[in-house]
Amino acid sequence: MDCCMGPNNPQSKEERITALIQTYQIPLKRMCCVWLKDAALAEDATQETFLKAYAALSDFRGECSEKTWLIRIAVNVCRNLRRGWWLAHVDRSVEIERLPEAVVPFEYKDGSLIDTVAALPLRLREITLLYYFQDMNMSEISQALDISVSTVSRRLEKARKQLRAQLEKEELA
Amino acid sequence: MTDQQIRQALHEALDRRLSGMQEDPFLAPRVLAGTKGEKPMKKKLSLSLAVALALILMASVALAAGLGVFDKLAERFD
Repeated sequence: MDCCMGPNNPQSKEERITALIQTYQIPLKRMCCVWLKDAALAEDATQETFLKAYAALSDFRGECSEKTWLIRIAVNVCRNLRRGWWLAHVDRSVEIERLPEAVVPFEYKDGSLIDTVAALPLRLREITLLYYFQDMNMSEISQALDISVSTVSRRLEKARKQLRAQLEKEELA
Repeated sequence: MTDQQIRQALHEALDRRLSGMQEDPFLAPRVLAGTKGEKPMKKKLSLSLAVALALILMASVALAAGLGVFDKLAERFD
């Protein structure tokens, strides 16, 4: 259910963006963290996403859900950040110790599953995060990434194989 | 292993391991300030700024060495 979108919403733009920030900031930040493999950059990406969302708020016509719309913006922000020289040339394989300190207990397998996702090639990683973490369906992912549904399906199958193998390995351990 | 099981495992792993990434109470004010024309403060020194500062520092040291500033300083301390 959208929290603040729709053409007839009486709220001001400021109230709408504040509601979006309250609803989506944590899942977006966590997604950007695994996407970019960098917690500080993920904070910047989240802020940039909401700034762009504010600028485009009046153009949103509700053709998709506000979540799909926001994620599409976040995807572009993350892709632009990754196009920067540093991220394009430096191997930033995620080091679990460098992630922000967890405030709830976690198991070793949580870290290795995140490592597996982070180690996926970018095309598979984005599909994985959107399908399994953001609970988007293939059609929504196709809209957000601007690729065909069959491409989404093909990439998802490849990612699924790798994730399944990792999870089954963890189960056996 | 079904899609639902993979989804649940990934949700739990991300939510637990990244639980340190909490809500930032200053994000909304920063975004609103940014929309009013104030440049939102970034948390990190950008790479280009860091490189520019390093280059300025190196150029200053090279210039100082070229002008013999270090020799003069050494003479003064001797």
